[in-house]
Amino acid sequence: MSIISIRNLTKIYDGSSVEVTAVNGVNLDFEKGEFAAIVGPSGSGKTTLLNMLGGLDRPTSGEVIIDGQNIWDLSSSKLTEFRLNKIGFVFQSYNLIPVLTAGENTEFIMHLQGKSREERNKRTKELLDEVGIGDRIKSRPNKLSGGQQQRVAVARALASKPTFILADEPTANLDSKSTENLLDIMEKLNKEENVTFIFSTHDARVVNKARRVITLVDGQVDTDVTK
Amino acid sequence: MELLKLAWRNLWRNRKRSLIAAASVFFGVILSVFLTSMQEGSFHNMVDNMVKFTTGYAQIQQKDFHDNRSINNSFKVSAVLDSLLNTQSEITVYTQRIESFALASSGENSYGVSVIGINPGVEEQISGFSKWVNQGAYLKSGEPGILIGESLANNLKIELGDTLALLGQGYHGVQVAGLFPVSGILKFPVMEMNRGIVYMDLNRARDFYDLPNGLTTLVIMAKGPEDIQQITSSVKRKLPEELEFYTWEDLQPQLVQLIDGKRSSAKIFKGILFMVIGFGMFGTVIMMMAERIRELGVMIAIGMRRIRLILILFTESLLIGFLGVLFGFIFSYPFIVYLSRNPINLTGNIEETINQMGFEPILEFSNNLSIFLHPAITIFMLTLIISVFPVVRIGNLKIINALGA
Ligand SMILES: Nc1ncnc2c1ncn2[C@@H]1O[C@H](COP(=O)(O)OP(=O)(O)OP(=O)(O)O)[C@@H](O)[C@H]1O
Ligand SMILES: [Mg+2]
Repeated sequence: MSIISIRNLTKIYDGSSVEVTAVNGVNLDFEKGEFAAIVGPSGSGKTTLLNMLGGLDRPTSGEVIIDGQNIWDLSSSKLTEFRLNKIGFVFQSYNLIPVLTAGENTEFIMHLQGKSREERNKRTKELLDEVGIGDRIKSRPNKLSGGQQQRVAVARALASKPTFILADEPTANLDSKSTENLLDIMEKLNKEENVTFIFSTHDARVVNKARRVITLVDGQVDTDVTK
Repeated sequence: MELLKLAWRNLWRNRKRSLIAAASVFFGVILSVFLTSMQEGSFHNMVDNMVKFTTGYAQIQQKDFHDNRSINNSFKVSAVLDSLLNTQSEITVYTQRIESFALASSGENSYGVSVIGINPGVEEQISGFSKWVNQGAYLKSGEPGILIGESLANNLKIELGDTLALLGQGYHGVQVAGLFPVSGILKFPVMEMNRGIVYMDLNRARDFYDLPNGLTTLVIMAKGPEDIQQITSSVKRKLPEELEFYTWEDLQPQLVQLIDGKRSSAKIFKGILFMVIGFGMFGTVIMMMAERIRELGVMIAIGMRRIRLILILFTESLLIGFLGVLFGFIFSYPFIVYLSRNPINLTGNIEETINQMGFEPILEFSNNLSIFLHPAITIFMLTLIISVFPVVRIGNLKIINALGA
């Protein structure tokens, strides 16, 4: 039984002059524990697909069913709650909250979930240790390198114990060493803790690590290869 | 992440801007507090001076006297009324007067005058009445002499020591007449008063109008206008039916109007002041949001409810307002308290002018709580109004657009 089912998902942008079909009738299923890359040329619809999958951008038609729930049937506030509890986000430009420390950024999500202080503190330490920056727990984002920030972002995405983690080009802003480092961490989490990762990328090294590669062309699934 | 912590740190992000916004509130509060304190203090002083020389803070009259100032509409102070007034701690002193009319003549000239019978000792205590005596001496209880205004003396062509004939209508319409030696000439700052008033000892007035133990006006004094409400509520409903209670506001509508007018113009000024401050705060809020729109989008994306985000932004503007108000109070409160206890004595020309008007030449300050409360409430309301912007902006925020910002 798949944790995510995408059915006939379509997104049409009403441009000022022409309509753009960014995603065109996509059908995909993801199982628990997948480590899947979405690739494709620029403009092929990767970001649009991930945004609809993440409950951030409303599809023109089609369904996104996560844990048996069509998320686009939910009210706006229920959808927010759904994102909080079921989906972890990693963004290309890290997007940590600048006034919070690495620890607080990680804790933030659990705070929104109403977790107890002890649980928050314990898990924050564990997660930051796991991504290898336990010693920077008290640092604000502007004191961290891009790679370190993105590792905090991964810790933050994991903190809520989500069903899966979505990452739109998580390594695009990183140098090759940081990219490798981040990928190792993601792979380790995937293997050891069975965390489901779905990410888009342009980076061949990232594609190589993926166990499943979905190629989009013109908003449609061109190939879907599981190694 | 306690709301407050996030809000506070966001303010620290752009310290200078937050400080400027809070400082504008700070100066607005100080300006408003000092302005209002000084104005309310001067009203206090004005009312106090006015009522001392004229009506007192409150009066009790026979209920028809207000419309028909006839000696027939007089009354007597009963033992019950006396003890009622004596048990009111807010009443500092009360005194009886007879106020009526008479025709004053000397030689060929006659003028209609107001005759006021007063208790010389008590009136002196209340207002320092004797300072208006320009020639001769102030009234003494039991003595027959009267005081008349300077202009009246001139019009009647009489001098100190001359005798004035008064012709009036006594109790039950009886014609009364009497001869009175002029023992003092008065010079009031208000010209009309010099022209038409005759003062005499209360007992002389009673004899003249044939009104033993009677009075037309019972004048009540208090420490200040702030005590009047208390006196009114405890005395008014206990009065016998034939008597009526008036406050200085009932008796001096022009003074009330004058004060109301000045209050209104001050309100307009303060309204503009706070509007300027409000726009400053509004600008700050707009900027605080604009430069953070992406971050706000991220917060919603990862699962923060919009309402909580709005609450954070509201807390931020609330903090700015609160800090401004708080420091405004901390700074102004000691000054206001000091000044309200130690009024500034005016000197030089101003002192002389005010003295001539019969007012105390001091600059009083009020430390009434409302002086501090009003700006605080205004700032709070402004914060609420300004927060409509984040409510609308966050409410309509498209996550995708914000993330792309
Ligand atoms: N908000 C929008 N309004 C109109 N058109 C849009 C909008 N967002 C995306 N598009 C269009 O939709 C198509 C898919 O865009 P999308 O960003 O999903 O591609 P992508 O695969 O993520 O590209 P990239 O690799 O450059 O990130 C493109 O043609 C793009 O121009
Ligand atoms: Mg993209």
